Amino acid sequence: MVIQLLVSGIAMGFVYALVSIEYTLIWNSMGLLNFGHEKIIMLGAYIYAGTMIMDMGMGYIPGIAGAVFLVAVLGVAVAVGIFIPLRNMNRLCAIMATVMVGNIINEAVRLFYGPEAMTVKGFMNGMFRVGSLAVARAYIYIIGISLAIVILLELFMRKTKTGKAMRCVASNKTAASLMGIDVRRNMAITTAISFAICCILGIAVIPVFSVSSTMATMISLKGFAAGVIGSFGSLPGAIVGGLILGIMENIAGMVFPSTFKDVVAFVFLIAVLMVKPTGLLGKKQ
Amino acid sequence: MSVLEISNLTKRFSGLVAVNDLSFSVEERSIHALIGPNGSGKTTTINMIDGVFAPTEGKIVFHGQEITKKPTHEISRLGLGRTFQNIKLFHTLTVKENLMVGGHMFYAKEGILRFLLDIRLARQEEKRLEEEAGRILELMNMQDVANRRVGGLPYGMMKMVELARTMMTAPKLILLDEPAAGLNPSERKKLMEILMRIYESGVDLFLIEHNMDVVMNISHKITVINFGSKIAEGKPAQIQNNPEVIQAYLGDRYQKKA
Amino acid sequence: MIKKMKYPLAILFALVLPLAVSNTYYVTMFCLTLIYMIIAFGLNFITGMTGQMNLGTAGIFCLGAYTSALLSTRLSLSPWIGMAASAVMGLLIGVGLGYPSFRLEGVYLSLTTIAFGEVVRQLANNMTSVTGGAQGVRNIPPFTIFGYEIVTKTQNYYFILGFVLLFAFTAYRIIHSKWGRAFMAIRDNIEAVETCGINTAHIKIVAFTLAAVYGCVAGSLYAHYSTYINASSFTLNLSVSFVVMILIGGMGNLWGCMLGAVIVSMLPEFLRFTGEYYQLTYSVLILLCIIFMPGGILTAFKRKDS
Repeated sequence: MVIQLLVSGIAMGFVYALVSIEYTLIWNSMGLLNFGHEKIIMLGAYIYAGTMIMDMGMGYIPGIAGAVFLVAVLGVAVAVGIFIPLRNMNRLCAIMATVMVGNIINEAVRLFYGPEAMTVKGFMNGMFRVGSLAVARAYIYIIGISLAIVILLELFMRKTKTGKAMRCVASNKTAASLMGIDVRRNMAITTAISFAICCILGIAVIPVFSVSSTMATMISLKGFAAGVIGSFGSLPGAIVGGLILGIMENIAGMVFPSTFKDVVAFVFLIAVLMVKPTGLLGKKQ
Repeated sequence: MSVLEISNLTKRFSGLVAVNDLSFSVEERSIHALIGPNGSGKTTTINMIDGVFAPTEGKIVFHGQEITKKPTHEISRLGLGRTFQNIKLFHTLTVKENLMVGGHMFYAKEGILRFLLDIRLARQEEKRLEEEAGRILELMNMQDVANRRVGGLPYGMMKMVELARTMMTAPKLILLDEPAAGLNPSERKKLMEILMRIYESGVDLFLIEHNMDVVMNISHKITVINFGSKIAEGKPAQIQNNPEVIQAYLGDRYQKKA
Repeated sequence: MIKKMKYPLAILFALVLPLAVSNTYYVTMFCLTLIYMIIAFGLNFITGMTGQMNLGTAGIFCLGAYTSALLSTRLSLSPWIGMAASAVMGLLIGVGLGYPSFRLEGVYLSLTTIAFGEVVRQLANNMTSVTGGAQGVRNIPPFTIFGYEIVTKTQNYYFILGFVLLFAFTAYRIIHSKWGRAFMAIRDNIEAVETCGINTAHIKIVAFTLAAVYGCVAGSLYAHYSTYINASSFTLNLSVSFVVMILIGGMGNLWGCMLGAVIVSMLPEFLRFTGEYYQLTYSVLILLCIIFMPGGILTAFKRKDS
């Protein structure tokens, strides 16, 4: 029982960590908090389940590739059309604009796919058995996919030219553009990557939450919380924060009634801010 | 008696030593200048005095009270004002309103509850602030811009507004970070006049400045630093003829022809 | 001339408005608009003037409503005592949530306020023994003045209007005082405010606490006016709508807050013809507003003064 809880806690922890990474990419690149990310995650799940699998009858893997591609293209469009022009605006306007982009996507999805929730039959279903121990296969997949994304992203940032340029843009835009980096193009790529991660996230949690308009509400909020708990804007912080949050809320689920599971995360967030406002891994101010 | 005493001040930024074991003191009733090449740690020193950074080591005493680890706003309340190298003003407010924010803690200290309940007291505070702002604007010959929005003022005037706002905090000592930078010669002359007027009204001054006309003309004592350490200290005439200072910073243009 | 007359004219307009419409449905809408105005006045202090994003207003509103509603239904206390308790609740929220959030600047406040709003909504929904859970709180008694109950929509309208005037007057005084200046100074340049001897964390907490007290009292008015409250209406979307109000009206300005409250609460009526596409149209309109009129509608139409 404890092991199952631990596994699902780690899996959800990685989900929160990925959410945290996904918005941190945009934050570091443009100084913009993307409050619409919840809807991007949902959109990814809908495109995969509704269009790729149900309408076009694709296999799981080509379906994922197709959905990720479409959402990444949307990312470029949103970056060029809205995020990049907005980034120098006053922060309140920028945040509200991202919220509105999210609302627009939400409505478009509702009008296009209808209000009913969907599932993908047989996708990442079943149990994984080791002796007497049975763990939902979905959680194992989620952990595997997340680890793969984290490692690939880290390699991309350290080894490729574009990745290095992204780190330059994050640390100093003026210097980056003086070094001949096309800052706007780089931001568009960053947004595309962030959106692609959202899409994969959305697909990965389908077996846990099924596909609905509110499927990502909680994970996106807790992803924010995970980032702050770890250390805002840093990759290790995101992972540590996510894992702590995921494991803790599953353990707390044994002590408190399950209806309070979601409250635990936010109470913990506020508690961390009171004790160590820069996050658990953060430097002292 | 010294009003500001800096002893063994050191600041390290992860390996880089910005200020190294620096000690000096600002005497009462004096204008003291801190000069040195770019990157020698001048602004870092002011930032430590003002509580923006905590020093790695060392001690800062202002009018007999240790302020080493105090936050900026408490230091300011003790009577230590400052201006910034890159002007920091409230751009959407008018000149007079900028000054009135400066006087917030000095002429209008009441808390929000008393403010809400006692309309008369609130009016008195507001009047007091306006009078004080008017007095400072007059001292600095700035009455004609009182109601202009700061965002649209010329650069030189913005620097004056910043200085005037600092005057609203009832300072005993003002730290000026490059007050003459970016000013044209006539503005510079006006600045020196106003600095002298402020000094004569009883405020001591401590300035960082690259313009040697200003430094040599108004300061009583000069401290020179290079790579974070003090290399010389003395009266302007002594500094002008100090070979080490000439080599590190001044060049021979400012050497007093003997 | 018009400048001096605008206050009495606005009040006169507000006084005759319910007499001019025959349909009580509209009066109901006006009541809600008035309550939103109070919230917008409050949010204006922290978000409009001080520039700190607050996305937990629905949580504040919810706590105010539940405090007042539960005291008057469970303990049968007078709604007036409920309202006073709501105001105290606002103080507690302001100091309790403001203290951890304001030690660091930046994004933390938007995140903690979201978390706060979620915690409040979930607790209201799940602590069934105290709050009634998903059933909400029913039969909340109305306010009474000298023994007269305020029951009809029109009576409620004038009752709430009284509070709007009181809160607008107070907000006006705060905006045009050292407090208002300090709020805006923080938005313009926070480091410079510190060098003026002002503890910026303290000022932010004052601004946030004002917002919380305004929001909680509005919550109390809402509870006793609608006689029924339910946690599911106090969502993050509602918090977003409050920010939209002050953003599209014009930040830092009372007229802007009022205009924003009117627009956001009336827009569903004007956009009724869009039917199923209402939410989409609304979001697109607001997005366009933000991009093309970042200073709000009022500023966009005002002449630029130097």
